[in-house]
Amino acid sequence: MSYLNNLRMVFSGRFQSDVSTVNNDVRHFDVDKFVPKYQEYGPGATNGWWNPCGSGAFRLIDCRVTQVGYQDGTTTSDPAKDPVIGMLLGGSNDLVSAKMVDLDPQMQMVSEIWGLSMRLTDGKTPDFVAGRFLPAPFRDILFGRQQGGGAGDQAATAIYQSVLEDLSWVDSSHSPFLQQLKAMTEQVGKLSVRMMLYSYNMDHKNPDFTIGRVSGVIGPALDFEPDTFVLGRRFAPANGQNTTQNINFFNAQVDAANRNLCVDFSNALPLSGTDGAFVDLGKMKLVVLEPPFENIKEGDTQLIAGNQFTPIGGAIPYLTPDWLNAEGALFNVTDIDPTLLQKIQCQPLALLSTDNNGVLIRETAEGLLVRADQVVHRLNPAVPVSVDLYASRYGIPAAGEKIAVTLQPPAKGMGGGGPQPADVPIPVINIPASAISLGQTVATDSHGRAHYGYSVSAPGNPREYIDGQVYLLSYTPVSDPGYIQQMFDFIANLVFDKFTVPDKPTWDDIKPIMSQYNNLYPIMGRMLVNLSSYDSMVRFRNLLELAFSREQSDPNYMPVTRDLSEPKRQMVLKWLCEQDANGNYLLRRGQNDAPLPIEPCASCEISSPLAKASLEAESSQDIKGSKELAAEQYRRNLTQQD
Amino acid sequence: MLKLKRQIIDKIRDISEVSELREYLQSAIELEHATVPVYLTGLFSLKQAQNVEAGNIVRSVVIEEMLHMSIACNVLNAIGGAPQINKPDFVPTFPGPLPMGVGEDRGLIATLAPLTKEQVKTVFMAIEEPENPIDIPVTRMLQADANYATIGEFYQAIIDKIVQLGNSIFTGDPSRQLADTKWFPADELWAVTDVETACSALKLIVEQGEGSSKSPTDEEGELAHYYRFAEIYYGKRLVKDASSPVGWSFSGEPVPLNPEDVYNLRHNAKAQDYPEGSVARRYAEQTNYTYSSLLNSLHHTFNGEPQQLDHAMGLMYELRLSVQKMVTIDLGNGEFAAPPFQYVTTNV
Repeated sequence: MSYLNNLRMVFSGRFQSDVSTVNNDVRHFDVDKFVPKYQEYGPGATNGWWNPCGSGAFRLIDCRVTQVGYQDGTTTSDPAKDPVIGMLLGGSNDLVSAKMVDLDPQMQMVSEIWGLSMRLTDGKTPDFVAGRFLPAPFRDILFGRQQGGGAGDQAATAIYQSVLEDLSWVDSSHSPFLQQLKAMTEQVGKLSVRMMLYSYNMDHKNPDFTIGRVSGVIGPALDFEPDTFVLGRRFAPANGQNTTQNINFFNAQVDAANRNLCVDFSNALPLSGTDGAFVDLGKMKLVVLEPPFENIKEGDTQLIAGNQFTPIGGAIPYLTPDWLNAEGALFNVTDIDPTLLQKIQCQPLALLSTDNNGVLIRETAEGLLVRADQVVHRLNPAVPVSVDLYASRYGIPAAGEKIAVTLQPPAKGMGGGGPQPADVPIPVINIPASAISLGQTVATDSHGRAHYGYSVSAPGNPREYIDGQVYLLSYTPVSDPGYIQQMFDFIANLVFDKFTVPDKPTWDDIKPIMSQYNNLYPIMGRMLVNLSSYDSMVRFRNLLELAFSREQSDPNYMPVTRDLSEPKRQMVLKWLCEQDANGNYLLRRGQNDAPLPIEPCASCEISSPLAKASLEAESSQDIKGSKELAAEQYRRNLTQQD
Repeated sequence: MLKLKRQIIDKIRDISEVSELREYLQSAIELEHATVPVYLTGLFSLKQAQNVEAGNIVRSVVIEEMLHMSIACNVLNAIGGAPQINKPDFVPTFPGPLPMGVGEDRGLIATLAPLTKEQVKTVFMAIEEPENPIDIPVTRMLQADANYATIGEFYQAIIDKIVQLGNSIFTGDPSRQLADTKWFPADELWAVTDVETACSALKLIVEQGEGSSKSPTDEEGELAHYYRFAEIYYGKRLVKDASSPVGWSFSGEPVPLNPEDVYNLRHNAKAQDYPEGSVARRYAEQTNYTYSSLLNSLHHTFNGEPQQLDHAMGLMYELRLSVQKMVTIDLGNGEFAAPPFQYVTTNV
């Protein structure tokens, strides 16, 4: 039942995502053509873009539990009834902060959160429950969702859904909610978590720069459930992007045994501003469509005459003040009449405007949902890979559903924008196709799941100045070519080039790699380790060993180096760690090199009041975010192929 | 050398139970840590890539203070204790006295302030002054007071007591020992398991801090902290000099400290000093959280999870990157934002 369970904990607060943006332009990976201004602020998609001195940190800040729901469908927001109310949902307090990382400059639409630990705490006792967030990318992003109060990515929202693993609990006998949650979670040993991120501030002259707001829910994760999406009911805009009223894809789940239904509106309805309030779209309610329901389309009105729907529950309380933050914008209908429940289980749902009985958005045809679970892959040649594909109909896992996987056609112009060096080409992605060996079309089992396997070989350095290649795989249900998918529901792969670790690596082998990171990650180069300088590397040898020896899921792993292939990482580590018989580190020198001078970097400084006054406010266009640009580039490629 | 009440030394000499000795080692840990925020504030006040030599000097001392704290933790663990690092009162209140009233004989107030010659002289050098500083040409700051003892004497009293109580007090779990050679060389940090390894470890603390009365360097030829800071104050490296009566003089390469390249950080800042909703407040709260996470991580490191030191070091560098950005926030009154070093339990 995932987080869309009666048993759930709602929280809200802020987050920080201090991503670095020099690597938002693929051309900045060309070490020979890199110039210092690429480490300075934009404006827009120029120079180092909007946060060149970002650290990569992702943090949860002041996220407090606002409501809990119990198995019987009741809820409370009263700390006297459940002490969990008002507690903090925080990140780790004994590890470095988590990181947010793109897959590649040419695929920025699956930014993942790595190394996040989450814990429920009152700040006094040990964490009541804590777990590790399985790295996951955002999904169901919608641009222009928020009216006012920001431009570019600031107006976008997206969902992070994943699971918390390696759970630890302390005595929770005083909280009825925690007792129920712990009992329900014991079998599977993980929790389901959803975070909807919104109102992200990209204006470096604003005190809230890199800060956004989060609406979160945590519930049990059950057997045979995917980790990163709800295997339930899928509301899909007819054009595959958004409805006329700017409604996004969203999900619901029916719990037939307990006769209830839960709809997640957090990422669905347009936001009126930065505080999580929704745009007034008039009165609306949830309905089940009556036959011949497949003819009823988004935008249809006057359904009453044809008696074409049956309402479920009361009006959607989306205009209730603070509904998003206080209740997670979850719409629960309990105690559903058995006859109605029967209809719900085999007929599509829709969101209806009761002002004109217009269908605002409806469920997919035949209640079909097809999605992939592990959608981001960093692949070294010859290592087999597998993805779990799922299918359901009306929320029930569908057996025997065939799902075809195809490689997307070559795509141009991804990951670059604005006036950058004209003589550095933007590589074409998805080529050569020969590097991807796709598996056979698969069919789902009785749990609605199919393991899809494929393999990759070395692409042969098609992008020249940047390692490996990006390959995007589409997946579609064979039974329904018209199935409406969210634009970025694909499987994204970064396939690295073949590389052989030298027997005795020297600084000559290491320097080209490190110089690239020094360019792309100025906060390190300017403030700590000049990665292109042998002497600086030697001085911080132990820190670098830490960064390069950890698992990728460890928060100490240097964020931008998640685009380093495994053999190259091993080479760096070998160079850093090789010792002589006396235990002295060799750090083989190779040729001499002159370290680059470390110059003060304005992008690493926070605007002073005086400087702030003298700077002209950037226009909305100027702070257009990288995500929006990347989405436009992707969409343009799709259109051209149409 | 800063001093503490001689009564403390007397009490250590009177100890008959190992449990009492543990309390003084906990105090030693707190004392070694207490100087870290003071020195880090000075270090972080330097503008990017400026005053590099002075910065290197301060950094080298901070690293040794962390080593000393680790040594004291190892000794406490070795005698069956458990270092308590993650609690609000582990961190001194700034401005204020150091733990155990150290320095009260001269009215030392530990302050969080930018790196100026005055701060180096009145706080840094005062903290590190040896029992018998060599006059090169530094004169000792205060005459001896029979009511006070030096930190060297404090450690010597602990050493004497360990010798007296003997190997039987080393009941601690050896797996709690930190002997990590990635961050500290093996000849500076080793597992403490008996009288000999404990005493040599504690002697290292005193040597690195004070040097000896005959030489400003320790056995490895490294300048004691006091003289390293004096190089910043006098603006010259301390070098051997045959023409000087003591064989040394501050006449070597320049150690510039250009005040133009030092942020005028707010003194003894607290997060609450910055307006709510301001970028300075946000950074102050975040650096408090990162600093507290570092103390939590160190607490785990010295309470049975020595491999946690990697995470502690990761946090140390994260704190540094965050503070280096923070100090560029112009508060508008000629001051710049400074990290508060307050222990907090939640990220709000």
